[in-house]
Order: sequence, then C-alpha cells, then structure tokens
Amino acid sequence: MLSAANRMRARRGARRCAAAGAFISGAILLTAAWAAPSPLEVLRSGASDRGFERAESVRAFAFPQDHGPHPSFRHEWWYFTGHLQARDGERFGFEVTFFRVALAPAGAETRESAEASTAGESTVGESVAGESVSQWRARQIYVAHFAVTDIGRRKFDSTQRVARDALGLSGAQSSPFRVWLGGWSVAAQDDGNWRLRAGDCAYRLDLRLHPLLPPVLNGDRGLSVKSDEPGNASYYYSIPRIAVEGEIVRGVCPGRSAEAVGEQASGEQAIGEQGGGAARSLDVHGNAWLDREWGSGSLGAHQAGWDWFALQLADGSALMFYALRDEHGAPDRHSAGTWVDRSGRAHALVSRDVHIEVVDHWTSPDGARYPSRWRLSVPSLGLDVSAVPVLADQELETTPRYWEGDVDVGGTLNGKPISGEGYVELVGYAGR
Amino acid sequence: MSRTLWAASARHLLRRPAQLILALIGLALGVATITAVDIATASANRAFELSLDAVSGPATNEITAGPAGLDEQLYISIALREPELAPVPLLEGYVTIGDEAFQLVGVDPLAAANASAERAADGPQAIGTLQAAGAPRAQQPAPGTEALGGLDELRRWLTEPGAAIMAASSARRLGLTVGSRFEIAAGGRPFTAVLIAEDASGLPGREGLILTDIAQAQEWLGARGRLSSIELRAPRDAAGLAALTELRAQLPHGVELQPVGRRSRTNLDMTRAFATNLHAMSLLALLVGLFLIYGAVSFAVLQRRRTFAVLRALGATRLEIVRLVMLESLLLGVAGALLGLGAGVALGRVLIALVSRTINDLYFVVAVNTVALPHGALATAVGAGVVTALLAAVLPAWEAARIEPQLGLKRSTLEVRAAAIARALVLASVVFALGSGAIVLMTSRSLLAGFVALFLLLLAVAGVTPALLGAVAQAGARVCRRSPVGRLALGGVASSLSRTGVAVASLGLAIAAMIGVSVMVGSFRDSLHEWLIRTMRADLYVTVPGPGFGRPERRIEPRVLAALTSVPGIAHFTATRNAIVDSPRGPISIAAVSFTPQMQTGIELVGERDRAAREAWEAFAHGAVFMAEPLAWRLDMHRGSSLTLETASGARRFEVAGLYREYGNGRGGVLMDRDVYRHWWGDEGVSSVSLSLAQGVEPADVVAALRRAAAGHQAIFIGSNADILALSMSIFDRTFVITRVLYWLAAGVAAIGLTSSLLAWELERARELGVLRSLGLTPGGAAALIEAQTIFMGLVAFVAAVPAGLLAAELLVTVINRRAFGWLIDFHLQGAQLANALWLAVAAAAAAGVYPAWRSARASIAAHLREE
Repeated sequence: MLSAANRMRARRGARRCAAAGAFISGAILLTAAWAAPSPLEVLRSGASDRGFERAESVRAFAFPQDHGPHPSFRHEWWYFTGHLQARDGERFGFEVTFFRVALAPAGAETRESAEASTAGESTVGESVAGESVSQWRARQIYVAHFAVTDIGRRKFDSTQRVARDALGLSGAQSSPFRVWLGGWSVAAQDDGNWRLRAGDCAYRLDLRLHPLLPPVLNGDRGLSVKSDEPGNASYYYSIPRIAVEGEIVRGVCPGRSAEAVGEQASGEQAIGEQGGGAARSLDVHGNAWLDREWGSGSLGAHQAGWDWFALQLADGSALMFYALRDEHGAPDRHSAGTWVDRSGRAHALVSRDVHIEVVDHWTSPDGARYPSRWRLSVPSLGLDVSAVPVLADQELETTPRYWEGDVDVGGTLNGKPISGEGYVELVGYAGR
Repeated sequence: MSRTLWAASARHLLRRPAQLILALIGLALGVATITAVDIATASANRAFELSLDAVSGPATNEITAGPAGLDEQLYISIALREPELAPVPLLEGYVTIGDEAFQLVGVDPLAAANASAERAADGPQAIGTLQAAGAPRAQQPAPGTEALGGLDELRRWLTEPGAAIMAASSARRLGLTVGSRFEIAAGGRPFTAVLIAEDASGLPGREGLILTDIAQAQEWLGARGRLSSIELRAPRDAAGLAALTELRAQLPHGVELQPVGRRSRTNLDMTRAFATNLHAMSLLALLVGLFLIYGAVSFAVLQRRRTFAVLRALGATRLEIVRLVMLESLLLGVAGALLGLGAGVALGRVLIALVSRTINDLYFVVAVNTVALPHGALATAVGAGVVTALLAAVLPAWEAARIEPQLGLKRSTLEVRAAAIARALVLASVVFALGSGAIVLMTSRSLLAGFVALFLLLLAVAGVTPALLGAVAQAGARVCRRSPVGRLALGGVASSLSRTGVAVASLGLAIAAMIGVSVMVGSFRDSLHEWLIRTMRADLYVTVPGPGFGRPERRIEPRVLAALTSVPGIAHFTATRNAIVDSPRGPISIAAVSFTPQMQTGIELVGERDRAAREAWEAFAHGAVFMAEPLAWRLDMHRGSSLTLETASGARRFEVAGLYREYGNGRGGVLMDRDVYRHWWGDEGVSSVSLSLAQGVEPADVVAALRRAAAGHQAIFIGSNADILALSMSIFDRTFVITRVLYWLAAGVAAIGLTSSLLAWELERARELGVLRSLGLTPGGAAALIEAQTIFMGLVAFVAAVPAGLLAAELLVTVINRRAFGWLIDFHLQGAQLANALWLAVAAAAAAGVYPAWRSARASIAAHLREE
C-alpha cells in the first residue's frame, strides 16, 4: 500500500508526465488547444453575426417548441443548476449546461464549397458536394459542462465536453425536446417530465425533472438587452423551480482509487465495480433551476464579464439577477433581473433596483481573484439576504475558467427571517 | 630513454608527412563510411518514429482494421459509451503538394479536446497544470489570433472548405503563408486547400504532416464513412486493462485493438535487411582501411630498422619499442577516427537523401528532415577505427621488437622472412576459404553468418595475394630475362614483398569486392529485366500516381474506371487492387488481380510443372493465394502452407497454392483473385488496370483516348509496357546507387593505400634507383620502371581478385541476397563487369604510381645516392 506521501508524489509525477506527454504530443493536441469555447468566449469573440438572426424585438414564446434549439441564432444554452439531498441528509450541488455554438450561418458552407472546394474541373467539385460529402461536416458545435459540489466531502468536480453537431455526437431537437452531447442529455419523457443524465468518472447523475412553474420570461417579455449596441440582446427565459428526484453515483476515477476507497458513508450501496473501485449510488431529491437563452450578439466592447445569481427562497419565491461589469469592475447599467413571487408571477428588476455588496474574496490556485460572499438587497421588495458559497473552490477547469457554485442563502424578507439556496456564476475573472 | 624514443619517432613521422596523411585519410574514410551509414539509417528510423508519435500523441492504444479502414459508426458508439477511454478518430493518407509527399492526418479537434481533458483526469487541477506547463499555449497557431480566443480558427477549421494546417517550416519551403490557397492531390484527384494556420511549434515529426478536419480528410481521400484508426488512452492499471478487454470483446470481427504504434512499427522491421546490407558495405570500407594502416605502420617500422637498432643499442627495451609503435598507431587511429567522424557526419547528410529515397521506393513514405546522431553507434565507429589501427600495428610492433641491438637485419633477411610469411598466409587463406564455405553450408538463414562468410572469403583473397604476387613476379622476371629493365622491375617486385604484398592485397580486396557487388547487381538487374518482360503481358498500364504502396486512396475512381475500360481498341483488361493487410506475421501486401487466361502466363510459378501449375491455378480461383518468393522466404512458407490474414470479417486462413517469382516489391506479397479479395475485405477499389489492345490498334491513339476519358476527374499515370520496363529499371538503378557509392569508396581507399605503399617503397629503394640512374637509366626510364611495376601489381591484384570476386558474387547472390530479401536471383556474368574491374585495377594502380614515378624522375642521381 502506498503511503500518502508516495501517493502524492505518484500523482504529481503522473501530472508531469501528462504535461510532458502533451508537450511532445501530437497533431491532435495541436488542434485541441483551441477547441474549447465557453459562453464568455462566444460572447466576447467579436465574430461577425452576419447571416444570423438577431434578437431585436419582442417575440411570442411557445412551449414546448421553444425548449428546443433555435439554429438561426448564433448561440444558445440550456443551463441546469440544482441542489440535491440524499435520505441521510448528504447534500450536493450540480450544474449541467449545454451550449450550442454556430460557427457559420446555415447554408454558408455549401455555398462556399461549391465555389472553392476543388481545383480541378467542375465534375470533381460536383462529386465532393454530392455523394461524397463527409457526415462529419458540421456548422455548429455543442459544449457541455458538468459539475458536482459534494458538500459533505468538501469536493468539487467538473468536466467539459465538446462535440460537433454531426453523426449524432451532439445536438438538440424540439419535439420531443432533447439536447445531448455524447452520453450527457436532457430529454422529455412520455410522462411529460424530463430526464437528465450526465457524469464523469467521479460522479454520475440520473435525475427526473418536473417543472413546478411555467417558464418565466426575463427582461422585456423575454427580450433581454445586454448593451446599447443593437443586436446585443438575447431571448431569455427561466424555470426557477423544478422538482428533482433520482440518483447520484459516486465513482472512482482511474489513479484515484487509493484515496476514495475506505470512505463509505452509511446508506450507500455498492452497484458494481467501476474504475478500480466500488461505485456508490445514492437516491436523491431536490430542486433545480433552468436558464434558457439564445441570441447572436456579443458583449459590448467594454463589458468584461458578469456575476449571475439564481436564488430559490424557502417560501417559493425566487430571485434572478445578473450584474454586468466593465473591464474596471464597475457595474454596467444594463444589469437586470427578475423577481418571481410565491405565486409564480414575474417582476422585472433593473440595475438600480438591486444592491450587491461583496463581503469576501477567494483566490483560486491559479491566481484568479473571485468575489466569494455577497449581501444582496432589493429595497423595493423588502429583501435583504446574504449568499455564502458552500465551498470556496467551485471553479470550473474550463478554458477560460469560471466560477459557478452552490450557495446558502439567509436573511430577511419584509423583516421576517428567510432561508434558501442558490447558484452563483462568476465570469470574466480568470484569464485565458 | 623514452624521451629519446619519442623524439626519434616524432622526427621520423614529421619528415614523411605524406605517408602519415595518406594513412590518416585511409582510416578516416573507413570510419567516415561507417558513421555515414549509421547516421543515414538512424535518421530514417528516427523520422519514421517521430511521424508516428506526431500522429498518435499520448494515446496508449489504437483500434485499426484492414485496408478499407474502420466504419466511423464504431467511433460514434465508443464515444457515446466509453468517453473515459478518450477516443479520438483519425484518418490518414498520403497527399502530394507539387512533387512533395506529405502524410495527411484528418483529426477531430473536439474529440481531441475531450480526450486531453479526460487524459488529465487524474486530478481536477491537472488541466491547469497542463496549461501552466504552457503546453497547449505553445502550440497555439498563428500569433494575433488569441484575441479571437481561438474560436475563429475553429470556425475556419470546421467550416472553411480545404482548411489545413502544416508546420511553419514546410509552409516556408512551399512559399505559403496563412491564408494561402494551394493545390493538394490525393490519389491523383486535385483539390484546393487553404492554409488557415501554421504549426509554429517546430516539433520534430511535424514537417511531413498536413493536418485537416476529419470531414475534409474523408472527402480528399475518398474515404467517406471510414477512419484509419481510433486512438485510445487507457490508464495503465487494472481498471484500464479491464476497460480495454471489455471493449475488445465488443469489437466487430476484423477490427483490432492493440498498443499504439505496434502495427506501424512492424514497417520498420522491413527495412532491417536493407540497413544490414549498408552496414556490411561500410565494414568493408573499414576492412580496407585496416590494410592501409597496417601498410603505413609497417613501413614506418621498416624505414626505422636502423633507428630502432641504434635505440636498442642505446638501451631501449623491447617493451619500449613495442609501446612506441603501438602508441604511434593509437595516435594515428584516434586522429583518423576523429577525422572520419567529422567527414562521416558530412557524408551522412548526403547519404540520408539516398537512403530515404530507397526507403520511399521500397517501403513507406518518410520525410527525413532532421539528422539523427546515434551517439552509441558513432562511438562504436570511432572505437572500430582505433581498434583497427591497433590491430594493424600488432604485427609491425612485434617485428620492431625483434630487431636486435645492432645495425638491424639485412634487408635480404627481412625479405626472406616476408616470403615465408607470404607462404604462411597462403595456408591461412586456405583455412579462411574453407571456413567461409563451411559457414555457408552449415547455416541456412542467418544473414550475419552470410556476411561473416563473405568477409572470410575476402580475407582469403587478401592472404593469398602476396604469395601470388611473388610467384608471378619471379616467373615474369625469368620470362623477361632478355630485358634488363623488365627483369629488374619484376625482380624488384618479387624481392620487396614485404612492401608490395600488402598494397596489392588491399587493392585485390577492393577489386574482388567490386567484382562481387557488380556481378550481384548485374545478375539482379538481368533477373528483374527478364521477370518484367515475362510479367508484363499487357500493352498499357493505368494507375494512380502518388506516394506509398498499397495506399487505399490510390484507387481509380469508379466512373473513371468505367470510362477508361470502355475506350475503343481494348481487347481485354485486368483490374488489380493493391492493399496492405494485417496478419499475425506482420503486414502483408496483397495484389488482388482479376486474371484473364492470357495474363496467367505472366506469373512464373517457381518449380511447378505444367500439370501442377494448372492445379495451382485451379486452387487459386477457389480462394487460395500465390506467395512471392521473398515473402515465402521471410515467413519460411512453401506450397501447401497456410497464411492467416485479417479480413474484414476476422482472421482467416488462406492456402498457399504456389510460390511465384517477384521482384516488384522488396518485401514480397501475395497474389489473390480479386473476387476472393472483394469477398473477404469488401473493398471494391481498383488500384491499376492493365489493358491489352486489339490487333492493329495504335497504342498512342488509345493513350490519347484514355487521357481524354480521365481528364478533369483524376490524374492518372498511363504507361506502355516499355515505359514501365524503363521506369522499373531506373528505380532499380536508383536503389543500388548507394551500393555503388560504397564500393567506389572502398576502391578509393585501396588506391590511396597503394600510393602510400609505393611512396614508402620508392623512398626505401632510392639508392637502387640512384645506381640504376648512374648506370644510364633516364629520368623517364625511372618513371616508366615505377609505372610498369605498379601496373604489374594492379594486374596481379586483378588476377587474384577475379576468382574471389566471382565467388563473392555467388555468395552475394545465393546467400546474402537470399537471406536478406529472399530474392531468387539467377547468376549472370557479363564480360563488361570483369573488363570494368580490370580497368579499375590498372587505372588505380597507374594513378597510384604517378606521384612516386614523378618524384623519382625529378630527383637527381646525387640526391638518390646521398639519401643512403
């Protein structure tokens, strides 16, 4: 049996090897380096939205069709965050998001290939455009993030996957609703609920989702304007309260068996060998939040990032607020949010309605300094709460990195004590 | 005492720098040849390994299948079910840009991104570690694109038709910059590519690669729906092994899961015989160098007999004299070896081009762009040089130690002893020759034993030469009794065996090697020529140009094929598919041919009578294969053996119905009925067609019609049987250029040796020449005397070399080539080869005599006499 110190050395060694391997490695990693766009990157890219539809005016939403993709827009996401509790009281936070990123407007590639694909005479061009077009051709890609905050064990695990919209590797459809990337998916079931499945070697989720509220339209009837520049807007709705039940499986990642074996909480049942150790399944239930957004615009030239809050209060009300900021950290007047009262009615909030005070900071191992504790007050609602991360390190190891984590909420609503739980997303703090 | 010794030694050597320099050059050439061959073969191997690493990266395992590749759906199902194995799809092929061949690698960067995240999954910080190590960032392509976060490049990569990436150095060489459009040809089909980024990493192995999206690669290579491999990364623990075992069990028949590179690396084994041949040739050069050093050192000893005798009289011990001679030789050896190392590195760079061209012709495409310096091999070369010098000095040192502390032995005594040694050497030669024969008879497959036998044979020649020289010279002197100058000349040669013997032996050795190699090459060439004439029964051959043998992308487009075969004037045609498939014995190349009865006569089944041949063809039509002689030799198979091949539906045994003669492919392959191939591999492609024309049809008209039929669809190569014959012979000659280069080097070393010996001899017999001159020999006469003597020695070297050379040729043809390549070659001797050897022997000897002759003609009688 390895001693703890040896284990650490072995792991460090493995990482060094991995780094060296990547350095001398191949062609495939050359291209891997620039293949992992995140939402911020898409928004900051400044790439042309020419040929894409733009979110410029209020539209009529129709469900369930609008749960499906809107391929005429450049980007789109399905953002699930939630809180799970096992029977023995163990708590987890989770994030499962799917991003659709169109790299070229529909029809663009066929036009181009007809004019430029071949040097020979037109006959070869025909054959390329015709029967021999590869099924791998795609004009959009999907990126998905998976994260679990294992509150009891004070662990945060995240994984990013990416795939092109081809050959069934990833995609989205509206009827029946389904969005997927590899084995990760959210799909409408016959009973009208959704089933979410995602995971990595450390955690796997298989959850049934039952929306408790109809979709809430954010901004001006679903049109969410992000800056003064025309088209820098999106269509944005949320489902702030979704009942969840299902299971979470703790797995063992290769090379990590030594540290995971032996930790065995009561109420877990072994469900077979996997990855060198026993996988443990837990029945869980809880509460989730869906954010849906699509558009073609970018952030404004001076907008550097945002802090996004999604707080679910114990009385059934919910607060969503995003605070945009410029490169100096100053708040942007286009920041906005929505208050959903106990009856499910939505009230739009603008920048001046909400006061946010950062109480503490946390610096990531890579040197990014994130706000880490907040006091939010909305005087017009009589709301005054603080949001405290359940774990300081909930930074996703994506490119670029961002922080998205489970927070505990406590404070007063109209003078009465209120508690709750929530998710906070902090984007634009870590460099590339 | 020792200071006196060193001073004497240094004075002597410095007074005769020419001799020293010649010995140095001789040894340096030997070491240089070894070094150059080491560098060239190591560089080719290294380039091949690097190109493998550059493609497969950090993967541990790969999934591969036969020539038709894998179904892409297999990747999809693995990506969905086993993301932890970090699967990455790859599609590889060869393309050309202009005349330059590149390996096209189609990748899915998104799968690679998932894989690198998966591969870093040993801890959540690992990705950060990778980034901190600067790895991905160092590989970020063009500067200035970081502002776009790489998204723009991904957009171009995925959506821009023809998007490709190549090494910055390759782009510079081709005159391309980011954004340039260029033409790329895959299997003769032209496409437009655009350089969207350069790989500025400068990492070795990248120069020969073109990277593109997997979709683009499928379209360019005409491999829609196919992949060449799926790279996997499994943790090296029980769990990883279990995951691989489980996956392997689920793979369809004909699909292999194995450690990465194992399959490709077997390619490298095929070049081993080729490298052994090169190394043997370079050892030959060193062997000649050994004689040279021996000559130089023994002359240095002979010239100082008097000095040594005086030194002994002054109190120097035998040991000190031996030490002196050995040390001189050691210094000579070290200096020569170091010089040779430097020259070898330079020569190696030249040889790399020759070696890689040969490998590309015979084996696989490899772009050798970096010179590998195999330290171990280089140290060995230097060591061999030094050891050679020491070995060469053993006899002379012993000789020097025997000098009595008086005025030295009389020359006549010395020559009597040399004659005795020459007779002893004849005995040794007989032993060598017998040993050589015994080795050949007692071993059957060992290539090394074959080379040992060859060297023993050559040593036997070298051993017998001095005695032969003495005998012939004495006989000649008796014949020329009436001509005093002739008698003097021949008598002088006979009575100075201690000097002339070694020089003539080394020349004889070089000539014998030259005869052996040129007769072998000539025999091979004639056999190839006869075989080609027999095999090429059709009038016209159509194939797809491009690098690499049996590459799937080198296939004639179906519609082009239909158009070609419907050209009027074609009586009948044969379609062939070339492919390389896996077998438990390594990759096997297959030629799948739909034979017409007329074409069957082109296949020469080895050792089959007519009736047996008919039965063999019967079996062939029913699924058996014919195996080429070289492959049969390598696999130790014969008629009736069974060969297991990985078909598209799993391993299957094929009966070997016969062996056939083949020189077309260095490693040999199997011949299969095309229907059988199609059935088992599901590959409908056609690599080439051979067309037989109807009577009275003008081939030129058909060629023009064929070109019209293919125009705009695909570049095709059309050759008449005469064209193919000429092309094959020119490829053959190119392959043996390197062999020729080496034997010219060996002959050069020998000529230098001869010059060096003659110089020494001329210095020694200065007095003799002086006396002759004072007796009325003109300066021209003195020069003529020396030239006559050297030419005579060249002739004797030739006479000694002819039987030995022929034996060596026989050994090369029937033992070395058979053991190295398995080729069956018929022995062909041409008078021109012997005439060339004679010419070389005489010319080398005459050239070697020019400088000594000129020197003695120029010297005054007084100077000659005073020297004594």
